[in-house]
Amino acid sequence: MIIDDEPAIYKILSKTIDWAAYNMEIVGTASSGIEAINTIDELQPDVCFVDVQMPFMDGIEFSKLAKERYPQLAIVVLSAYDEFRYARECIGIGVFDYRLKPIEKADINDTLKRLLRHLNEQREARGEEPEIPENESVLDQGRMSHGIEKVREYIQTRYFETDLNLTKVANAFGFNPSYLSRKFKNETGESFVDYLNKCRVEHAKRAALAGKPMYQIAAEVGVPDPNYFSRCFKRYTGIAFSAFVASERKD
Amino acid sequence: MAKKSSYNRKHRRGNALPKSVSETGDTHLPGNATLWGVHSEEGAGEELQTFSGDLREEIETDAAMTGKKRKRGFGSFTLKQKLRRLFTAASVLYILSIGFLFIFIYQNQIVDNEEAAVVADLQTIAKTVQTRINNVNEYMLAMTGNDVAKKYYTSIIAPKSEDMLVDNNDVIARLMAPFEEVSSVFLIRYDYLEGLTKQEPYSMTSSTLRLNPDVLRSKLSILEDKRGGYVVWLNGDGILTPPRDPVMCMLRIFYDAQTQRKLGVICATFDLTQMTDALSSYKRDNREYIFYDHENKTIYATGEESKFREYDAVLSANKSRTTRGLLRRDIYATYEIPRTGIRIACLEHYVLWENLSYKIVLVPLISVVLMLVSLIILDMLIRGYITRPILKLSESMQAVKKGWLRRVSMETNDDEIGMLKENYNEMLVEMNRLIEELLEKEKSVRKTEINILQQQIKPHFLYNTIEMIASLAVDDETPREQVYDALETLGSFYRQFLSKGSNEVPLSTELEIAKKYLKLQKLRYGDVFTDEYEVEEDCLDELLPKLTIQPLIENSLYHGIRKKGGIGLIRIRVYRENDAVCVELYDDGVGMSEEKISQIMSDVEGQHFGLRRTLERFCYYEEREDCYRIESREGEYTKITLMLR
Repeated sequence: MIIDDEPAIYKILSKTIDWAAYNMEIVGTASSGIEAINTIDELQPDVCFVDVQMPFMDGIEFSKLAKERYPQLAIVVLSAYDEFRYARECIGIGVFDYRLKPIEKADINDTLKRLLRHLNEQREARGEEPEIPENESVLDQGRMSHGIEKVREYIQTRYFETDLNLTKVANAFGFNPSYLSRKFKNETGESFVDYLNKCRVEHAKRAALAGKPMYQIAAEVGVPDPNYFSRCFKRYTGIAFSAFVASERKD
Repeated sequence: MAKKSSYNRKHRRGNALPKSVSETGDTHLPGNATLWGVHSEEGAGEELQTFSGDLREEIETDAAMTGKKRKRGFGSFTLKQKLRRLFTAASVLYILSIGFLFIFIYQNQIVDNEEAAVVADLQTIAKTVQTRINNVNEYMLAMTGNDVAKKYYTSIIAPKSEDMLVDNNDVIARLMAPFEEVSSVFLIRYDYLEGLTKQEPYSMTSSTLRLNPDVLRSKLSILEDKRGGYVVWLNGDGILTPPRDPVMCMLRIFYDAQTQRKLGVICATFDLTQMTDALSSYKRDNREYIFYDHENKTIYATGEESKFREYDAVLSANKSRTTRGLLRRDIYATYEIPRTGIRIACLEHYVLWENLSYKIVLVPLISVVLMLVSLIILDMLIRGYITRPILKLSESMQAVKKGWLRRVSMETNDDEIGMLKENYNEMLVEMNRLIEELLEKEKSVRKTEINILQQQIKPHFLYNTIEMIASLAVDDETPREQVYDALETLGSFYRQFLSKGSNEVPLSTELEIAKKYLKLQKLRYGDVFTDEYEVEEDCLDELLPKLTIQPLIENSLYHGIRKKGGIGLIRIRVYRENDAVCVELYDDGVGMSEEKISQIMSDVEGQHFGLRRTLERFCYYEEREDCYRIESREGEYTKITLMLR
């Protein structure tokens, strides 16, 4: 996954790196830490390339959160800043590598080689972890509806939290995130992400009637990246936020 | 800048900063340390002299100047030399003054005493002589009551001496006997003197003294004037002619005891020894005596008569005088024996060292010795408590010349020297502290300079823009011209942005820079904003400080537009209003509340210090505070207007 507010990095990485040679592919992009938080659960990447300098939530903050949720996630931080304090913080968080912009092909390839080795080692170790047995899911059936109901409640009361995502909720309830994702979908018929975003959009609609500016509403519903927010809004309502506001005003 | 001219020096080698104060408290200031002055607008930092070098130069110049002005006077000797000389001078002075005091005052006292002694002696001698003369007078008076003598004077015919002798020899002789002084006697009748009779005068004499009646006759009136008194003359002043040695002669008129009729003259003689013997017990090696008669003729002198004459000229009788002199003095005294006309004078040669007893000398000697001893002790004390500590102190201060600021660690008492040491050490500590402060300041100034330099290059902008252009190049769909254009814009932007030259540029240049900047940013961020320009052509030549517009635009982009989301607008308008050219920078970003604006403008090191600094620079250039306007509504827009006059 490539997380950068400028499309340059994505363009360069996609064009100049032979991902297939590393048995990797680019599964998605995000242009802010906020967006990344919301989409990482779906994408479930093994590696994130993260730019430090991003508005609304910078790469460091994102890395912190991501590492909490996905300790196995390998993060490569890209920065135009050659400053030790950033690097030190990143080491503290546990990022895999820290590269300077503008990126050089040789450096990136070098990092990927190391990454591959690292991931293979990880996979071997992980291979011994048992998958969650089916009978467990059967056993929990009684609790499931109650649990999902609780989850829905949880979402409704905490939709505005910026870092609220599948993993966080799963951890809060003690579930495996992918397990929760499956169960949620099975039980409610829609995905966790959809439900969360819909919840947010509803609240945003109500706030829009109060006449607040978009960036403020975006922050209030837990998506402080106004660009990502407007995309989400459009996706779930079918119309652009500005159009919605205009039509409401007419009434 | 001009004020620093006296400290301008050639560049010294080395960029190393001096070491800070070590644990022992020393600071070494190598002469090659350089202090950088504040980055001037001209570009090159001006160099100040090293701290220690400066001070050194000043001190040396001072010393040289005062050395020229002042001759090598006493003040420029070392303390030791000074002390030695002062003490030597004091000792010499003291010894000399003691000596002089002793000689003058003490000696004068002695001499006065001696003078008094001489006078006293003279008086005693005179008394003795007078007693003897009185005795002779007594004899003559006794003779007036003597019948035999009377008979001689009163008989009509003067008896012959032989007759008198034969008859009354033993009476005369017996009369003379108790009067030892009298050696002979003459009885002379008036008629003999008048020449009427030829009777010989009666004489009782041991030797053949011849009487000269003519002389006697001539002196008769003097005798008569005496009216019962007598005269004492050497050789009767010619009346007598002694055969050999001179003889003293006393003469008086012989009166009848009852009738008081003048009968004649009686003359008694006594030997000179009667007078000179009186001197015997007062004879000294250094004394001369002289007897003068009534006419100041010498009767008898023990020494050179001429010496006495010198003093006679200035002294009258019964006075004494001492000549002035350091080691030798002459004491001259003279005393007249009353009623005799005989004067005794004494001349004493007083020589100092012949009269010194060891007791007298002991006093000044002990005094001098005590003085020397006390001076030596004083010298030692001063040396120990003052000179030596000061020398030590000054030695350790000398070490400063070599560049080591070492604190003095010697032991001192609690006196002023100790205070000096303490103050000196404190001063050193303070100096060290100041030096450290200075170094810290220099370090931070350098840091700031480097920061400013780096910031001016805008490295992050550069990296990101290069990255962006690389992505364009890598993308198949991007035409090569676009890549070239982007590169050209980047190069051109930096050429203008980094140009050294005057600090004022025309508006046209500033706008170009802003346009290029925005063009590159648009490429980077895609559809985040659009830019509009409304510029009145005739305003383009107005001058304003370099890099005023671009930082403000950057601020609008990052803090206004990108925070809002959606597509923003940046608009630059340049127009003339009244007598000012206005540059209006408009963006429809998140805006700022009044609070936020004032917070930003007062915040020194906050996130938005770029905005504040740029506006401050502009105000400084325009030389007034009201050269700009910020209008903003939260959530809607921000408009910054710069007014150029």
